[in-house]
Amino acid sequence: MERDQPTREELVAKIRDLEERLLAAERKIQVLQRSEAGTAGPGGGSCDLPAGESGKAKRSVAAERHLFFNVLETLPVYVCLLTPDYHVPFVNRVFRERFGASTGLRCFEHLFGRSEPCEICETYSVLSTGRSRQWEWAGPDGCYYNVFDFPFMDTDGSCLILEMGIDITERKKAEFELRTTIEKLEKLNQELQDFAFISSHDLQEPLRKIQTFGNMLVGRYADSLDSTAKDYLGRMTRAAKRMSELLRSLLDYSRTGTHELNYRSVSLSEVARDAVNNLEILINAADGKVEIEDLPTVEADAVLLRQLFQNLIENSIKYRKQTEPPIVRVNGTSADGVCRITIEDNGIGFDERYRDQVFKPFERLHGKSSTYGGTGMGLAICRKIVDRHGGDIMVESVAGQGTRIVVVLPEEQGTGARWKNRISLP
Amino acid sequence: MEKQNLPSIILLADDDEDDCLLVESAFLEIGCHHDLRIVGDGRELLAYLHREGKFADPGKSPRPDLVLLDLNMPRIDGRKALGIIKSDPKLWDIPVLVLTTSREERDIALARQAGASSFLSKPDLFEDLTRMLQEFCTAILHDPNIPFQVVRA
Repeated sequence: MERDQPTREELVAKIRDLEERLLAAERKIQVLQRSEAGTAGPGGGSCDLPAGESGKAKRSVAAERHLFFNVLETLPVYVCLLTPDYHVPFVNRVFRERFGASTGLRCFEHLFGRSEPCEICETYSVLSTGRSRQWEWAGPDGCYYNVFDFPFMDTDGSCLILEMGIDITERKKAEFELRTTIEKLEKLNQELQDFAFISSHDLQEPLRKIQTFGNMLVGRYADSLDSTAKDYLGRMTRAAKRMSELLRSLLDYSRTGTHELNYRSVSLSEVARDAVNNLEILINAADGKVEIEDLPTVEADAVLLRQLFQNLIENSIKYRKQTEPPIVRVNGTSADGVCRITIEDNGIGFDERYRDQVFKPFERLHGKSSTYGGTGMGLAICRKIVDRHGGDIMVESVAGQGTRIVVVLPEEQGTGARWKNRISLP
Repeated sequence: MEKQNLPSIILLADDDEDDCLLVESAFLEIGCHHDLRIVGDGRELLAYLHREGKFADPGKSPRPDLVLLDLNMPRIDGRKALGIIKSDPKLWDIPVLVLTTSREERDIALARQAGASSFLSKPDLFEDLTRMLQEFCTAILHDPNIPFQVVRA
């Protein structure tokens, strides 16, 4: 039934057409009946059929009637007529199949076994408003219906309601399944984030003690340890320190995901300058220079964007060439509701084949103990920040020639599902 | 300082034995002008301050000049204990220094709002702990109204 479901408009048009034909047929019958009884109809019998045509007209009326009911019977929707006193003078096949024939009972008696009309009735509001309406109904047969009610004038001028219901149970089921799946996924995602947060938080605690006591051993008992013992101890405390850094960056990563977004108008020039201020010591130590051009203003979370700039500029300073001082250029443009920021440096760069890899958590291109070691979380956090703003981030780099990061962000944070209007870079 | 010749009484509330040992060792290192007392959770801290049960004798359990408060503790945690101390007319003027593993913004905000003197994250290195305690305890004992600071190692 769902597959070839006619549209509402088609059904309404069909029914209107049938109504008209039925009315015309009814008029013909009345005329014929009057002429047969030898009485002149209203209007001085001007619409009387010529004598001898009566039999033919009768057959044609019967044929029209037959066709009309056949169509109603065949329609894959339920159709019924309701009177103001809740009687159901007409039902079609689908109605009978779903709810049984209404054997003279009133609608509330027949459908719900009630002795009084229902307290809330969507259908009968049509009588008071005189306008058609559409609503969804959970029927007594356990199916969901998209119901259309129309005010309907009977041949004698009395008011009726024409109701039509399309079975939408399958669609409802699918919607329900989709909703529960989304809820499940959201819950799982939340649990995963909570897990990352709690585990990284709680693991810090014992780790801190390993570091503290290990450090005290080194500091206070160095004289009573031989060189091998000292070496082991050194390795142990270094490993503990490393693990602590990893956990801390995991915590930062997880916080980026759970951080409650507070959108407001953010001047990117301002947050970029804040980021540079936070990195002042590092930049000065490297004899570096950060040039920030006039950047656009976007609707965003200032805390996260500051973090974004800080991570990107920090990377540019950190992955500098040992032979020349680092220079970072930050510029941005804005067009068609999209803001585009580039952060360029003269650093060591990297092989373009790693361009996607660098955004993954804990992904590093340099050995732990190299000058360029880190936890591999900086760009993963950047990606998460940009994702949460419905934007995109991309990197272009040539080994030995510097790196260029491109970030695109929507100028405004629209309502509704963000993934729908995500901006993506080629 | 009035009590220049008497050691300042510092009350540490922490359920973690290792941390108690570390703070104790740090104060040993700092010197003898501090008399460190330790309670294991918020409930014991409040019992001490209210002189209840085994803390009834003011000679044995003197009023502290400074409270060092951990936040994550069983029964009554540090957040709640801080609120109770700072809203008690008899206790609110005792300076409370939060010393915790937490680095959470909401804990910092809570500590600041409740009236803690400062917020210190427990550092990884013993030297840092010693330095931190020496600096902050000295400052607060000298002037309980130091500006609120956050130290996250």
